[in-house]
Amino acid sequence: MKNISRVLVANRGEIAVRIIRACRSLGLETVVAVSSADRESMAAQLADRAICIGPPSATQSYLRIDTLVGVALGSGCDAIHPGYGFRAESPELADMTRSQGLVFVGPQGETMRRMANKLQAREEAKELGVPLLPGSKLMTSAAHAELVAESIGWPLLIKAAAGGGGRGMKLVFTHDQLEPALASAAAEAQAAFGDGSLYLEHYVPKAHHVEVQILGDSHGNVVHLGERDCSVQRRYQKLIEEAPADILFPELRDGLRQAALSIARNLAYENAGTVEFLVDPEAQKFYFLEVNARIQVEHPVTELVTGIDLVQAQLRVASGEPLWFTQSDVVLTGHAMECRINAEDPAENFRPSPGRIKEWSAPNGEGIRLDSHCFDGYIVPPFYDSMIGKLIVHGADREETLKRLQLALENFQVSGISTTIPFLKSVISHPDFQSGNISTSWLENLLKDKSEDDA
Amino acid sequence: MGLSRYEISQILRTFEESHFADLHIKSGDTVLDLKKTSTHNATPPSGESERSTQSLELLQSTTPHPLEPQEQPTRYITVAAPALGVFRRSSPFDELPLVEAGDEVSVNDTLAFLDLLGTLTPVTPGQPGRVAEICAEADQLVEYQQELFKIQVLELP
Repeated sequence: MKNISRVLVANRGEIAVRIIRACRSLGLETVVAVSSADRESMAAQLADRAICIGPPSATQSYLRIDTLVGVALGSGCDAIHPGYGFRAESPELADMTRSQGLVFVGPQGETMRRMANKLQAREEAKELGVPLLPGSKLMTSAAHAELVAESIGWPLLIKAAAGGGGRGMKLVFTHDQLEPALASAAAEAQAAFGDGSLYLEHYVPKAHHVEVQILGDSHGNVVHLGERDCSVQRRYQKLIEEAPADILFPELRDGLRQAALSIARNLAYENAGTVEFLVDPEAQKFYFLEVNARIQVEHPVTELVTGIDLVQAQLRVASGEPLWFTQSDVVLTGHAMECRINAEDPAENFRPSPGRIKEWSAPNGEGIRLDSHCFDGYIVPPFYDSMIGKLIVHGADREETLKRLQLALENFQVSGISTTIPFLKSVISHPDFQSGNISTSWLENLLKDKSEDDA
Repeated sequence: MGLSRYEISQILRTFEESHFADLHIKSGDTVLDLKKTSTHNATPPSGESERSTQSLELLQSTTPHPLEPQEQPTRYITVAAPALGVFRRSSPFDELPLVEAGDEVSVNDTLAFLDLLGTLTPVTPGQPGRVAEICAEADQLVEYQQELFKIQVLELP
């Protein structure tokens, strides 16, 4: 591959394994940067070389930009793949990587900067004529928020201007909830992003979270790879994702995809990214939310319905290769679902459950894929995200996919730690999920009802 | 119970003064195998005439040799990389290595630098001693906690 022969994998867990496998398929060598807690990880075993970059604390290892670039240079890598999370959307990492003459497998730093500021992203989308939810500009005070709240319309979602992932996000239904929620959201945003700036957005209670996968090269070509419905969420964190989004009528689906392409073209978007929307299925309307300038956790569902390996595609376009297919070549086949398996105890309010996995017996069969870094005897460290794997299933349609997913979860045996597998089984067996009658608030409401029943 | 150090020294003195050529004693878990040998100095020191001396040779003992001073075991410490970086053996202002094997170093001496994109982190021994071994190759990337130096700890007299 032009420009790339050895890739630094600047991440851990399942995505590190995923990147190593993609590199191997393309004949690229890999060096994985590991913290001292991950020396024995699957990624460390699979990579051509594993280099310990620091202690377990992410702030002293996976989050250190100078260390990541330094290890890439010192180990003879010519590219850095950041995965997702950690520094994946850091313009500083992208810029420093490129300034050292290395390839950054991701968008330009400037693209990340423009989309990291959610208010700027809204402004840019608005200029392109992409629909937005009624919202505010930057909040200057609680009194200011009180003033604009009425014009936006209740209920409201308080959002952090500098970030996403649910941090700094608060839902408010009434005036008296607004001031304390603003204070709490500002503190949370400040802690998470170093910036407590907030804005308000109208909240649609029965909405779906639908996102469009985009892929661009450095020659001005951009395509979309269909959409994903990621409405099953807990605390704004996605748990189950599927592709395509069955709630969309053809006209709405087309509008959504064209809006995503318009935003991508305006950004001269390079590499893989996601444009997120909120969809009101009753009104058959969609609204722009944000752009995630990275590969997403849920990318495999798109891979299964399109047949395109997104991580390989990232590496190929990052090396300067023009896209090797056009929009009309993208054909979606069947239906795919992904369940995120976490090392958590649902009975204990999803408390993390790190520790040694005694038994890891994964399901297999037609249409079943597992992206994971776990194995018998692996110790899930307590320092990082609790996700231990993603079970992804493909079928001819939603019904067949759901049946396969149920069977796969039934056959997934993990002992030694608590996992969310039993919880996921109950979620996908629920009649609402089976019929697709869900929304972004559906799971939260279900858990709230259950908790009240238990009390 | 075996023989005490005092008892062993008394036995050795008695044996030295005796006309016995060898002696085997077993007491409890102590076994002593003693033999008198003759030593001929080919080149007598100080111009002395050739003479024959007698010495004692302890062939086997399960207790420490009572006549030789107790040797302190040599103690080493390992100096590991405090961070990831390129291992620089010299400072940016001097081509000569900061230390070589055999050099005595004090607690805060800089043994090397770890170079991360031009930022230098000094490596110090943390304990005085003598550089016994340089374990990493100059100008190569070293990992966090990689062994860089072996330092022989010098005991105070």
